[in-house]
Amino acid sequence: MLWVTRPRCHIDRTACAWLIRRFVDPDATFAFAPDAETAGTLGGTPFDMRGVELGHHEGRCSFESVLLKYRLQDPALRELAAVVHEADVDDDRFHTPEAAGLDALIRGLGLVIEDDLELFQVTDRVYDGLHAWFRRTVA
Amino acid sequence: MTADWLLCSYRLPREPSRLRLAVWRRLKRVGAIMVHDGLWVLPTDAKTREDFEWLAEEVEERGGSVLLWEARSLPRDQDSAVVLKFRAEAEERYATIAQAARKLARAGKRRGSTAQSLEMAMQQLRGLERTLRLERRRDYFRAAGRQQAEETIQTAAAEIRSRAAPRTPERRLHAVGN
Repeated sequence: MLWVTRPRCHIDRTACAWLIRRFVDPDATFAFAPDAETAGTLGGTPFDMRGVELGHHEGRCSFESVLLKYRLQDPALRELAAVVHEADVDDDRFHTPEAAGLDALIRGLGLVIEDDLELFQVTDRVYDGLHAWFRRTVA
Repeated sequence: MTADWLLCSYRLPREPSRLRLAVWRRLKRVGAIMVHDGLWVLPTDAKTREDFEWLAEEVEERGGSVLLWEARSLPRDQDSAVVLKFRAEAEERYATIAQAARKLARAGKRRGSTAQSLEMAMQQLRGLERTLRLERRRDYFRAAGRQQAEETIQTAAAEIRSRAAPRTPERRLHAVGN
């Protein structure tokens, strides 16, 4: 399936791409478009865009919206979601000191990797690691 | 080639004034600085781009207009002047944090402080820690005063704890300096 988001990805989009590939659609491919309308013409499912279901709603970040829609209940994913939320929305809803580090890391990767698909290859492993870490901690 | 700076200029309807305030607060929160009259600047990266784009959407939704650019300085020494301004603003905020921490430490030392007042001081100190975390995030150019703010908070925590001891068990403040 094709999934579409805005280019130059930061935390929420890189984390969603990982979540989709690992837990929703193993054969996911990704494309980029500036807005939901353009995403529609590509025929993909849009995420982390304004006015789409898998976006920011009622205080949720897009990662949390994906968890909700696909009923992903894994406690380690919940932990990861709190970190992603805090790094992305930054509203002090969760106490997650990891968020600041993740923010710095993903920002920095975006400075050296301009191609989003190439960026995903690296960030996928970052989220694999974080997820494994939380799985060991809470599962 | 990546551009160095993101620039943002916006116009809002005159009313409601709370909208102007909300936009201004948001710009301050992400650590943008204003140069001259109404040109906001951030160093460019995926997150700061997102910060400005998000802001632009909101402003436009409410009937305002926004211009966004990626830009590089022409004069060579211009970058350092901009960086200095970022640092000066962050330094001021670090100083405010340090000052508040010192005040809490003094309050902790005061005679007649009760377990309750010490606990309250500790809670306020945790609030300062959160502020410091935000500060570290928007301190794009490692301003002076950061270390001092961190140390002042730690010192204040130690003061308050030693007052509270031995009634209260050891409780390390988290996250500062990590």
